[in-house]
Amino acid sequence: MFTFFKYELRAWLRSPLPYILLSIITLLVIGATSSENVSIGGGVGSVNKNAPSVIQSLYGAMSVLGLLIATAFMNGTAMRDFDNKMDGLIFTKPINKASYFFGKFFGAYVASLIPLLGVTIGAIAGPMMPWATSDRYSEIILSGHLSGFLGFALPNMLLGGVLLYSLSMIFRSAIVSWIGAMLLLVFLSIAGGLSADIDNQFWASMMDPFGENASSIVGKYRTVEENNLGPIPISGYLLTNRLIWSGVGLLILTLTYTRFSFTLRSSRKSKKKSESQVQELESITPSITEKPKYTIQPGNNSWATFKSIFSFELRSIIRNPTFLILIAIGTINLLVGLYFFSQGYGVETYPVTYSIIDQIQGGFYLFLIAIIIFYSGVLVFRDRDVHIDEIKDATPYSSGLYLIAKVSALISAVALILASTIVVGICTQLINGFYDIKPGVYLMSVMVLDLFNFIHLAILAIFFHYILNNKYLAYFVFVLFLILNSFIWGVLEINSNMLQFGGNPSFTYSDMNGYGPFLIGNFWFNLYWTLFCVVLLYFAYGFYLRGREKGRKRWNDFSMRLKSVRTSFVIVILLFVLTAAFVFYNTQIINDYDTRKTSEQKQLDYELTYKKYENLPTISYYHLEYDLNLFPKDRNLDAHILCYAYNRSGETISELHFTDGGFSDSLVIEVENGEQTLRDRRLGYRIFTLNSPLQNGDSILITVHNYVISRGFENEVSLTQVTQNGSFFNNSNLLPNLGYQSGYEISDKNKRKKKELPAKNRMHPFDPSDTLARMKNYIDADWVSMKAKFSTDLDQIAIAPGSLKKEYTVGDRRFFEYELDHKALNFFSFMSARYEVEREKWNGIDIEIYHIPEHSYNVENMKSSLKKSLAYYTREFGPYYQKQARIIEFPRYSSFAQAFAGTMPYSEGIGFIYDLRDMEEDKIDMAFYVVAHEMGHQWWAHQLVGASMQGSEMMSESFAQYSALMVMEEEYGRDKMKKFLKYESDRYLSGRSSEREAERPLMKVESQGYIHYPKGSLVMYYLKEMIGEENVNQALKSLINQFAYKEPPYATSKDAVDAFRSVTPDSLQYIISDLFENITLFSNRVDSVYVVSKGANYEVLFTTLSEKVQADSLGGETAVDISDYVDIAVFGESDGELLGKALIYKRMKISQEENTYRFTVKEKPGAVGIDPYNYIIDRLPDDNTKSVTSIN
Amino acid sequence: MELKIENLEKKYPNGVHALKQVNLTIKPGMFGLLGPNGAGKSSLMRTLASLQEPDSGTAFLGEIDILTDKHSLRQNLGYLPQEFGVYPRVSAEELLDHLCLLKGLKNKSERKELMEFLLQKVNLFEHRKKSVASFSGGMRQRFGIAQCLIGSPKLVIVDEPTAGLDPGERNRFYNILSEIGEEVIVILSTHIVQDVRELCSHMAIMDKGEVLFNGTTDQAIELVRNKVWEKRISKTELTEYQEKYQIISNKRVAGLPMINVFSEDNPMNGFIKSDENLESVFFAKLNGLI
Repeated sequence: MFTFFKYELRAWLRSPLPYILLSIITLLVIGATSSENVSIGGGVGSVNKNAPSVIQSLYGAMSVLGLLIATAFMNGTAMRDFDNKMDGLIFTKPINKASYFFGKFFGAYVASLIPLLGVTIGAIAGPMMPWATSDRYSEIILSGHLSGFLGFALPNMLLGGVLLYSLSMIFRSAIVSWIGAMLLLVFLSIAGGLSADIDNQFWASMMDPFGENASSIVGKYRTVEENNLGPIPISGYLLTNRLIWSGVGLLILTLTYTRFSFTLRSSRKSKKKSESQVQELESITPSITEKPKYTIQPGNNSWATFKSIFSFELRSIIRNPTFLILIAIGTINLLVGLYFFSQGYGVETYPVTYSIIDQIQGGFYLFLIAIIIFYSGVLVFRDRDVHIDEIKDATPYSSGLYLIAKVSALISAVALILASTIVVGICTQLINGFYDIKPGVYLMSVMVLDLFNFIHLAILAIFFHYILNNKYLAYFVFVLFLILNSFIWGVLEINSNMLQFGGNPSFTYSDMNGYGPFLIGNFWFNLYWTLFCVVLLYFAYGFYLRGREKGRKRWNDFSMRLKSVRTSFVIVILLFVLTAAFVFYNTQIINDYDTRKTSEQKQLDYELTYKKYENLPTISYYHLEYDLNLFPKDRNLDAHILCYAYNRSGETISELHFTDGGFSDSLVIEVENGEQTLRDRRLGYRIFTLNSPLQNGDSILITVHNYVISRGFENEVSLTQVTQNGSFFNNSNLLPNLGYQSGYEISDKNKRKKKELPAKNRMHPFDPSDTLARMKNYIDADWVSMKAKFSTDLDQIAIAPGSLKKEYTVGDRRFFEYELDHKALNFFSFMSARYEVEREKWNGIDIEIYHIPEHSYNVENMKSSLKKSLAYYTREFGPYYQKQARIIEFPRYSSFAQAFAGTMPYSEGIGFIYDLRDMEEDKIDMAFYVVAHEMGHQWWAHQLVGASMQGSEMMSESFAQYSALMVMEEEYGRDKMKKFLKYESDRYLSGRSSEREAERPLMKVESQGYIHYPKGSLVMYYLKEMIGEENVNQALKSLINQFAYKEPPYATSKDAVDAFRSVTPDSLQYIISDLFENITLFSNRVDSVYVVSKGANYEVLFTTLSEKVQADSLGGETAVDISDYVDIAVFGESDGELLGKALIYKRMKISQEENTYRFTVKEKPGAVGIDPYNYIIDRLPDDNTKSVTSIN
Repeated sequence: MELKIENLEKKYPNGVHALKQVNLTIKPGMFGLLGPNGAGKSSLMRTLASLQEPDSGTAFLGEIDILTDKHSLRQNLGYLPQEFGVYPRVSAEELLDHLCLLKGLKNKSERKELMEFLLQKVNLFEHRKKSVASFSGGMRQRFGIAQCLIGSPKLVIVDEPTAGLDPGERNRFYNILSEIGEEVIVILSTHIVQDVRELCSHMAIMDKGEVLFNGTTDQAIELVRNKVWEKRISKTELTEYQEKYQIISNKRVAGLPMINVFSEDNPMNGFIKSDENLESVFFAKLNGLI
C-alpha cells in the first residue's frame, strides 16, 4: 500500500498544482483577513478578522471550494494510468489490488489537503499586511485552525475526494466525476432551502455534506465574544453531521473498492452498444450510379449554409449527454429552490412571475455559466480534439461564417436552456394553483435581458479561446477574468457599467410598475456591450484557427483577415464608439453619481466643515402647504411647499441652516426676510442670514421649490420614488433638513477610526434629565397641521395624508386636495398610481385599501386587520384622531410597510402576495400581522413619540409589536402565537451575533432592529404573561394620556418602564429590571424524566436545570442568582409535533439551579417541560421539553 | 494542369528541418510519394493542402498559387490526412453531408444525391446511418476517400492512407483509389512500397526533407536492374557480410537472415540475382547506394 501511496504523493508534490492552488487560497484568505472590503467567512462588526470562528468558517468555505480541488486531484490520480495508456502495462503486473486502490487514493487525498493549509498561512499572514487595520486582530488562536482543519477540511475533502475518485475509477470519465461534484452542491442547496424554516433545523443540518448549515445552525446564537474566543464547538448537530458524511465517504470508498477491478478501459468501452464496431459484409458490390450533377459555390455565405452549419453545431452540443446532465442538475437545483419558496416566519408568497424568475436566476445561472465556460472550449476545439480539423480546414468553407455559426449555436443552446427553465417555472406556478402567469415578463427578463448577458459571456469565452489557442489556459483565464471583473472595479472605485465587462444597471421588475424606469438604460448598455462583443468577434475571426500554424504566422493571418473585412469592421467600431459616446453622455454628463469613495469623502468634509453648527438653535414647523404636480410618464415632479415655522427654542435665531434632503438637484429655498449667505453645492449646505433676528415665539415663512426632472438614463437607476406607476415619496425627499444632520456622518466605527474621526454614538445616550435632547423627538418631526394639493395623470389616484376635500380635473390632469383632520408629526407620504380602491367605514373612520387590480388576494385580511386593530387599540389605548386608515401599495423597490398619519404604504413584495390560502394550524397570517403592527404605530409614534435618544424606538416598534400580538391573539388564539414567538426568539438570538458595536438592553435600544422588534415582542409578551394583559394595557394607556400629541419635552423609555413598574406587583418587580434594564438570558432544560404507573394514575418525576445570566454589550455573560417564577408543566400525549393537552401547568418559583418535581396525573403523560412555550428568552429553546419515552 | 513545387523550405521551431529545397512537378495521374516515417512527407502534404506555410519556395496548382490563394486551392482540393477522427454520435450520412456543405454544395437535395453517390462508390451506403466513430479502420479510410472526392477536386492528396489496414482492406482501398479520374492529380504519400507499386506510374522518394528520386516507377526500377543480389546466410555471418557488402536490406525468410546487396557486378560467393523491385530502389536510395 505504501508504495503506491508514496508514489502518488510524490507525483503530486512534484507537480505544480498543489502549490498553485495553495497560493490561490492563501491570497484569498490574506485578502479576507486583511481588507475591510473583502468578507469571506464572516468577521463583521466587532468580530476579529482572524477570530477562531472566522478561521473555522474560512476552512468551511474553502473546503466547499475544495470540491474543485478534489476534482483536479482525484481525476488526475484515477485517470493517470488510463490516460497515459499505462493501464495495460500496470494491470497485468502482479500487484495487490488494495494497495493500488487505497494507496493511490490516500496519496492524492493527502496532496489535496495541502492547498487548504492556505487558510492557516493566509490568516497568519493577513494581519501582517501593511494595509491591514490593526485593532481587529487577536493573537493566533490555535483552536480555530485545528477545528477548521479537522472539522471541515479533513472530512469535506474526504467526501469530495472519495466521490470523485470512485466515479472516476468506475466510469473512467472525467465528466461523470464532475457531475458527481455538482450533485454534492445540490445537496448543499437543498439543505440551504430547508434551513429557511426553523422547524427544519435538524434536516437542514444533516442534509448538508459540507457541514456549513450545521455549523451555522449550531453557531447562530453565539455572541461576538464567544466568536472571538473560540471556534464553533464540533458537537451536537454539527458532530453528527460530520460523522455521518465522513461515514458516507468511507462507505463509498469501500463499495467502490469491491467493484473495482483491473480491467482495461478499452475493453469496457467495447461493451457499450453504441460504440460497438460495425461488422462489414464481404460481398458488397457497388451499385453503379451516374455521378450526380451539382453546383458548387465554395465559401458561400448564404443563409442556408449558415443554417446548416449552425444546426450541425447546435445538435452536437445538445446531443452530448453532458449537456443533458448539466441541465438535469440545474433543474433539480431550481426545483429545490422553488419548493422551499418562503419568506420569513415560515410564510409563503404566491409564486408570482418575478419571484420565480429570481429563483431561476439564483438556482440556475451558475450552472449556465458553467455550461458556457465548458462548451465554449468544446466548440472551439472540437474539430481538433476529434482530429477532423485537417479535413475540414482543407475545404473551402468560410471561416467567418463558421465562427458566427459556432457562436450562434452556443447562444442558442443557452437560449434553449433558459426556455426550459421558463417551462419549469410556469409548471411550478400552475402546480401551486397560481394562474396569473406573465409570459411577457419571462420573455423580457429571461429571454432578452438575461440572455444578452450570457451572449456577452459566451462571446468573451470564445474570444479567449481563439486568442490564447489553448483550451485549458483559456478556461483558466476566462474564470479568472470573471472573478476579477466581479470585484476589481469596486475595489478601484470605478463604478461605471461601461467598464465592468457586461455591466448593466440592475433592474427590478414590479407587478405595479413593470420595468418602469429601468428598461431604457438596460437597452443602451446592452447595445453597448453587444457592439463591444462584435468587435471581439472580429478579433476572434482574425485569430480563427485554421491549419496548423502557430505563433508569428497567426499574426499574418490576423492582419490579412481583418483587411478582408475592413469596411464592416470600421462600421462596427464606429457604431460602438457612437454608442459609447451616447452612453457616456447620459451616464456621466447629464446624470452623475458618486462612487463610494467620493460619497465618503463628502460625508467626511461635511462633518469636518459643518459639525460646529450642530447645536445651533433652529425653528420648528407648525403648518405646511404642499402643492405637488407629478408627471408619472416623464418621471418628473415639481413641488412648491409653504412651510410655516416659529421659534420655540428660547433663543434668538439670526441664521437658518439647511442641509439638502432627498431630491436636491434643483432645490430652491426662499426665506422670508432672509438672504442666502452660504451655498455649498458639493456638500449641500446653505445658510440664510435673517435681516431681523427671529425672537422666541416669532414665526417665519419658508418657501421651497423642488423640481425633479429625469433626463436620459443613468449608470444605475437612482430615482425610483417618482415613477410611471407607483410613485412614493415623503416630506424628507421634498424638504431640506433643518440645520446640521449628524445622520449624514460616516457611521461605521472602523471607518471612523481609519479616518481619525472621534467615536460616534449611534444615538444620543439615554438620559431623561437631558432636557435639551428631549426637545427633539427621534423622528425629528414637529406636530403640524398640513394641506396638500396634489395633481397627477388622469388615470392615477394621488394620495396624501388627511381627508380628501376636493377632487377635480383640469385638462388631462387630475387634482386632489387633502387636509389633515388632526395635527400629526411632520412625516408625510405622497403616492400616486393606477389604483383599485376597496373602501369601508368603521365607526366613522374610512377604511381604504389602495392596490393594483391583480393584487387583491389579501385585501380582505388587511381590511379585517385594520378594523380589529382599531377596535382593540381604541378600546385599550385611547381614541384614534385621524378620520381614515389607508393601506397603499407601492412597488417592490423597497420591501417594507411604513406608518404615516392615517396612511400606511405597504410594499407589493410583501403582504399583498402572501399566500394565505392554506392556513395550517401554526401558520401566521403575515398580511394581518403587518397591518396590525403599522396600525399600532398610529398610537406608538404618531401619538406618543419618544425623545431623540436611546430607548425611544422601544416605545414605537416594541409597543407596535405588542399591539399587533394582542390583536392577533384575540383573532387567532394563544396557540398561534407560539410559532411567531419562536421566530422572534430566533431573530433576536441570531441578531445578537452580528451586532457591530454593542448590544443594549431594551430600554436603551439604539436603532437595533434585532432588539426593538423581536426582543420587544418577547419581552412584552412575557410581561403580559406575568402581570396580565389588563395591567400592561393600563400602563400603556397612561402613557398615551400623558404624552399623546404633547409638545416637548418628549417621553423617554424611563417613562414607559416606570409605568410598567407601577402596575407590577412587588413580587415580580425583578422582571422589569431583567426585561428592560438588563440583557438577561436563561437556559432552562429538562434533564431527566421518570414516569411510574400507579393504578389508574401516573406519577411523573422530573428534574430541571436552570441558569440565568446577564450579558454585557459584547455578549460576555455573568451568572446571576435565580429567584424567578417559571412555568412547569406536564402534557398529555400528542400525535403531532405540537405539545399535547396540559395536564399540569403551574407557575413556580425557582431559586436554585436544579429542581425536581413530582406530579400525579390521571392521563398518560407525553412530555414534561419547563417554560415549555418559551416565554423566557432562552439560548437553547429546544430542550425545554422532554418526551416521556418509557413508563415503568 | 500540373502541380509545380519549387524550392520549398520548412524548418520547425524545434529545429527539425522538414523540407529542404523540395522541387517537384506532378502531372495528372497517380503519383506516389515514398519515404520512411519522418521523411517530411506529411509536412509537404499539409503545405500542399493549405494547412501549413513553408518558410520559402513556391507551389502552384496550374494557375493557382497554393501559398497565397488558399481559397481557390481549397475549391480544387481533396485531402485525406494521415490521421483523422470524427465526431462521436454522428452518422456517416450526416458527416458527409456536413462536409459537402463546407465544400460549398448549397442545395440540400443535391448534397443528398452526391452523398449517396459517394457512399455507394466507397461501398459504405449500407452503413450510412451508422456512426463513423464505430467504423473499422478500412471503412473509415474509405469514408475518408469519399469526402476527398466531394466537389470534383483537381488535386487529391492522400497521406498514408493504408497504414494499419489489413491486406483485404488495403485491396479494397486500392480499388477505390484507382477509380479516381485520370485528369486528376492524385498524390499518395506512403511508406509502404506496395502502395506505390500497385497504383502509381510516377513517384518520388523522400528522406530527411529531401527528394532523393523523382520519376516514373519504371525509371526507378531501371536504377537497380541487375544490381541486386540475394543470399541466405546464418546469423553469425551477418556482421561479416555487413562489412564486406553494401547491404540494401536484411530480412528473414523462415527464420534465417536473407540479405540483399547492391553490386554493379555479381558478387559471387553464393549470391544469386534478386528480382528488382521498388523496395530495392527505396532502400538503396535511403542508404545512399544509388
